[in-house]
Amino acid sequence: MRRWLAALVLLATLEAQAFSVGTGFSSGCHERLTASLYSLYVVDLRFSGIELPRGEPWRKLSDAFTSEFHLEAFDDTRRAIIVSVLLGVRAPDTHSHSLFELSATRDIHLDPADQSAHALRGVDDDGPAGDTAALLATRAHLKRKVSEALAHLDERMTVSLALDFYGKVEVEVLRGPFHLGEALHALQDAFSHMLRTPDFQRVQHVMNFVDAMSTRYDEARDGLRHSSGLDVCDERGAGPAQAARVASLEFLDGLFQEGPEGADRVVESWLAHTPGCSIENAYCDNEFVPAARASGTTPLLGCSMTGAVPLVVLAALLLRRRRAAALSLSLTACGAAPAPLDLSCEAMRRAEACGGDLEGRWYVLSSCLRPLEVAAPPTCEEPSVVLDLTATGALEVRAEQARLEVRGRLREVLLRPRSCSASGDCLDVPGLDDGFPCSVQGDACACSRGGVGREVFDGPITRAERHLEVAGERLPYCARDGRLVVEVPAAPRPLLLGLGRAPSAGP
Amino acid sequence: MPLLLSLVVLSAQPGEAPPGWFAGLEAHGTLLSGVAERSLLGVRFGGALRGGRRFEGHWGLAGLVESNLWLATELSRARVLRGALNLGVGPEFRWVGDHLRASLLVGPSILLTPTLLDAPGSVGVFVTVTPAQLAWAVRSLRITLSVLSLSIVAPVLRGIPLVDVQFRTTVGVEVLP
Repeated sequence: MRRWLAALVLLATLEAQAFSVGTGFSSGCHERLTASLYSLYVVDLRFSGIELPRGEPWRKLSDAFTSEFHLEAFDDTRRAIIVSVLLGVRAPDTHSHSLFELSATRDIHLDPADQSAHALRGVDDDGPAGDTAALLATRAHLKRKVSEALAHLDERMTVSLALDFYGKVEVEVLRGPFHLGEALHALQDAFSHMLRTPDFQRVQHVMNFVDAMSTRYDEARDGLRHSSGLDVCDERGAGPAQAARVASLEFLDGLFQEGPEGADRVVESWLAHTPGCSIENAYCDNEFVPAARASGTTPLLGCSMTGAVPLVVLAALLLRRRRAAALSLSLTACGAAPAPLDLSCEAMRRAEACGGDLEGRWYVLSSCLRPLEVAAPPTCEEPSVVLDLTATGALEVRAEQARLEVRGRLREVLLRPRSCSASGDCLDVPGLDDGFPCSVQGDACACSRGGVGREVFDGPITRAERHLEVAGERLPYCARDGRLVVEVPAAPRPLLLGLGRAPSAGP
Repeated sequence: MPLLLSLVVLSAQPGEAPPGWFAGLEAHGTLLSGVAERSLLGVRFGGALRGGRRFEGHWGLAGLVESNLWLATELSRARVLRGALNLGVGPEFRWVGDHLRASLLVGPSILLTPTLLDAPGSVGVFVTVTPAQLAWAVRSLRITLSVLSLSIVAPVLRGIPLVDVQFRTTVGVEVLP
């Protein structure tokens, strides 16, 4: 009995702020991160043709989730999406079981084939090459989950989950959002199970759970032990959770804007590897290593985790897997607790000046969000689309064709142009450079030439002809090399990182 | 508390069980659940009023009204719920004087707390089996201890049933008129 009581005390003292799924002894970090994505992004998406799940349990669960995470569902479709995504993001840690169903928990978390679902090394991912192999496996897992989600986007499926007092309960959910939840779990784990560069942008090292729970563990070969020291789930400060949320938001944005290629591009960018970090150089002197070592996952009693080890010890270890002990290394200077974000810093200045447009990548330094890669310049000038003019081809730029490109990354379809201007030299006909006015016509930019008509070309123009027909009149064609600049209004975007304004309500 | 109980039990004297009415208070608790495919944690506890009438010989009739509180440990933070109100009536068998008793009580179980799936007020079934309750006489009182009893608390039987199997330890004190 004493052993059981000790275990209960241990469970009760586990740090609650963690990349965990929610139980009575841990807050739902994955759920909280994912729920915040709903408020920031998903709530504004438009959905049609989605058949709701059948039965009552999903509705009752949706009530519980919307209440727990303070979400506004607005309609049944969003209610179903909330349930499906949140059950999906829990699924990799539970596989339909209670986390306190110890025999199942052991099998789930020590399954060698399932380590990539948690962004961890597999048993064969050894040495420096193991980092690359684990990253590839994680990326493949994410790709697979995205494919499953898109292939079954409007389908329903039945999943099981463990509920208090009821045991296993079957619930029908939306299949696409459920698989997206599973993908988000892996992506978020990539921030608590990997050592990263100080800006969290790149991976330096992938950690190990399955070998760390065995007696054959060798750090030089298997990598740094999985540790609860990186599991701190504090969305307010600087840390892996914050970065995980930004990555999750980008992931959804990439998926919904550009399809699976967009999602994969985002995954690839966040799983980019910086090689050369190993035990020899303290993983490039990563600042999280002391915390990781202090709270590393180890097999208690120094024996194998199979066989005679008391189940409760195993339970405690497994439950600690995705929970945090106290983080001994603070993320802010001088070891102080993460301070509230400085509201006078750059992020908030932009938020106020730019109507909440904080799209882009940010990093946190001294409790202040700073821009790393953002769409809007600090002066909040309206972004421009710049097209190179060529001697042939259409010059009409329609809104639906235009996308804003920021540092090589396409962002979003633009709204109606606000102004247009063009410049360039007429290569063929001297004297025709006396004007090249462009104006907004409807949702397009159209350019005219010296009052002779719109220069909108419907087909290729050969050099041999070098003329245009405008109202039946043959005109010399002016082939230009130049630039067309289309200014567009800064599209209002939901605030990333949870600063201030929430997106507007649904339809 | 367990030490104090042990001292009381060890100092108590065995006594015959006189026929007649009895009443008492009980406290029960359980930490773990042994049910397959369920959480190992099954923290339940509560108190009960137990009474009845014992006849000449081995048999008697017992009844109880109990409040069964539940600790929720899945999905969100642990919290104690009011659980169920259970009522049971059934036979009691005594042997070895009044040292050992066995009972089987059956009655309704009423859900008192809202759960994720059900609203309070649902009525189902309550069954509790006590194979061996130890009893010691201390003056006009009886101290009772049931190391292990099986209780099935099932306040919801429609839709997705709520059937909670509890392996309890129970202590109590009885007053004999």
